Amino acid sequence: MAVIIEHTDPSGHVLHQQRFEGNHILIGRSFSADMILTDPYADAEHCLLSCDPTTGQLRLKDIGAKNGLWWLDHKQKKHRVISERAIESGQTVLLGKTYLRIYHHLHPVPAALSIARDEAISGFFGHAGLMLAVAILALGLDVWGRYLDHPIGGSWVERGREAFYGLLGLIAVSSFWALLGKGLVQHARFRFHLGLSFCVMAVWVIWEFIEPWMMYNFNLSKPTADWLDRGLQAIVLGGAFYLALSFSTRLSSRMRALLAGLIPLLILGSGVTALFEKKNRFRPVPAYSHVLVEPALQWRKPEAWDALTGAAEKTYVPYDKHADDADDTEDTPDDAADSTTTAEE
Amino acid sequence: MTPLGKLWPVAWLLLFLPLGTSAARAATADGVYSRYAPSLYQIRIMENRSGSRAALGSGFVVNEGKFIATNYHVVSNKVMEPQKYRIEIDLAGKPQVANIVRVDAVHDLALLALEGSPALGAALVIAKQAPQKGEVLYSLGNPHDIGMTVVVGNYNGLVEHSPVEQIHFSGAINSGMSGGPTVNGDGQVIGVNVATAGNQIGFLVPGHYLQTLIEKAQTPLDKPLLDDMAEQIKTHTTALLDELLAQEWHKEPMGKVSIFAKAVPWVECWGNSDEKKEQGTLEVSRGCNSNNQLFLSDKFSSGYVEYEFFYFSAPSWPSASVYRYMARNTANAAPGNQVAKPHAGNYTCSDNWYTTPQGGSKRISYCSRTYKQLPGLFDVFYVGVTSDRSHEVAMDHYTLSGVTQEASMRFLARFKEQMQWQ
Repeated sequence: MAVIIEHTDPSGHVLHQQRFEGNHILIGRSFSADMILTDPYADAEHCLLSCDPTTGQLRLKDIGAKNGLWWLDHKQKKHRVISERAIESGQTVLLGKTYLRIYHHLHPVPAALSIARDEAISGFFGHAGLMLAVAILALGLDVWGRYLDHPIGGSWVERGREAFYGLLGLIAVSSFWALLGKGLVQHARFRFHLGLSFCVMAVWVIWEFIEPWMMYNFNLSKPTADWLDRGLQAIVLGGAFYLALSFSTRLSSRMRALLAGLIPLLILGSGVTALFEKKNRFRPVPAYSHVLVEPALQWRKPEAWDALTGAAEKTYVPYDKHADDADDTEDTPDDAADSTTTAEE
Repeated sequence: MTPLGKLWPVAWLLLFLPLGTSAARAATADGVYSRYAPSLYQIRIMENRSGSRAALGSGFVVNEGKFIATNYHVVSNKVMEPQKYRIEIDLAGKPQVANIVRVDAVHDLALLALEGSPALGAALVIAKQAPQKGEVLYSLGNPHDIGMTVVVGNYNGLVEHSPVEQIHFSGAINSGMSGGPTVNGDGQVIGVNVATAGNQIGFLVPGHYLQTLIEKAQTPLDKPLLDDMAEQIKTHTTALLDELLAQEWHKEPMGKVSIFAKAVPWVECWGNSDEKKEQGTLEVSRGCNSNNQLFLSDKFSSGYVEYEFFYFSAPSWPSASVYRYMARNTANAAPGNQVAKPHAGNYTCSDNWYTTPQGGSKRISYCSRTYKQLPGLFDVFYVGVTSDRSHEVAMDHYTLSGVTQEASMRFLARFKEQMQWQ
């Protein structure tokens, strides 16, 4: 008969495993114990684990532990072991501040997970060549965009420095996820997170370049372009968050999807809220398009000159008093002036 | 020009300035005051819920005691929010409620009638002839609620280059005197105090507009007051646009485009240019506006016309930079008149690129918003930016306020053809 004891952290992650061949295992800080603990909250001889050689039944006995002996049920709720108790293979017990998961050696272990898909994703984003290419593309476009915004007066060093601040931001975000991964899954994967951040930034910078071009050439209205913008944000940020969670936490795929799904929900939700706000909120200035595209990128023939008349006529919307009354929650600006601010005309 | 309520700090200063000059005329002014002061009243706009004063002005008896004349802007709160305010006139220490009979929103006049027709002072007579330039006039009113006052000044003819006729009165009109009469030595009303520009520059509504309003008021109004106001503004702005459209718009060069500038006397035009040699750029701008807005309420002005042009050239810049610069530079165009939520809806815009008659392309945004209380009137906003040359761009823009769809569409049809590459 053999017993396998796993030392885990409070979340259940295994710190190390040990196999014991005897039927009685003394656990405690004592150097004469079979399993020696380093936990200062554990007694020298904390408990005795026994295994019936015929039935394989595991039993745990408190041998006068100062801080008691506890077993955890399937909801991870603690129960004190009074004197002695039979435990099932795979159950976790708590001694002082040490969590031990105890298995009978015949306990089945789950089938091995395929690492191919995870490693392929991790390897793709962390690939040095790809990362370098994406970084050069994203930072290059960023610097180029800064040059196009102010072509005269600024130096390339200045523009590079401004782009470098962005790079520092990406490194900070990647470091955060890497540290989280290091703490939770003992695997930092900094390169993966950095590569992922570069890809997100690249999508962003490329979109900023092509958005006006798309608006012109596909004749997109400002609201349509805004929704495209939000959709892209939702997909890219949601996807990146899901991947980062996958590699830095032990959350189930359902929980990861739920958390990552919050991002699209927030982005698209804010769009829906903005839609209602836009309807209700009074804007003293017109929300006209500011998009301009240089002649070389205009691949669509503009509308006929006479079409302007018809388009202009459609903007005259008759006043709908009923709809306005329903929306009108804002006080009028002509509220009463108090007696100290009487206007003299 | 500013309605008097906005300039009270300046007005306080001005109050003490003219003492030396008016001393010589004191005898005549004294006579005018003692004769006509009983016909003057302070107009108080009271907020019903708080029971406190929201605005003050002056008024005087006309039409054989039937009406009290004042400025529209004194009673504008009551017109726009009738449930919220009431008008009170102090009759021998007893407040008396008054109602609005008619308004002339374009010339800023209103006629009030007191409930119960109590006895009032003698009615003032409106002068049939305009005075001579330089003639001494006496402005009466209650500045800053300190009591009825007479101010001596001179008639200086009509204000030039204004789309709304007003008299230039060289005298210290102050806050609270709005709606009071300015009379000649015979006590005939030459005009109604309406605005000040400070430094003894005052403005009066010519008396003949008051006479016209009194004649109209002899028959009861057959529609809501706001509908009548809408008709007045519509007539006024349509006449302005008709006059503008009837002129020949002379082409003038600006950078590499031709534009038009001062088409009618009542628009004021300005211009500027900025050549930055180190940047290799040239900017030229020209613009005109009617320099006069109809005050309809505290946060609602209309009847304004403005148009402007802008040319930008940067031969050494990448084409993308030129268009990025223009996108930033044309992003903040805003209408010249002020409108708050209770008075108009949001702008509805149409944005698109069009092939110009010259074969180029131009992005044009056309937006309009509907007035809520004044049926049939709109504010219109137009901005066009050429996008057919790699290193130079031109913009044209206009806003029209308080206009009809028909008149504004006629203006668009003419305006859009004006700016062209030379």
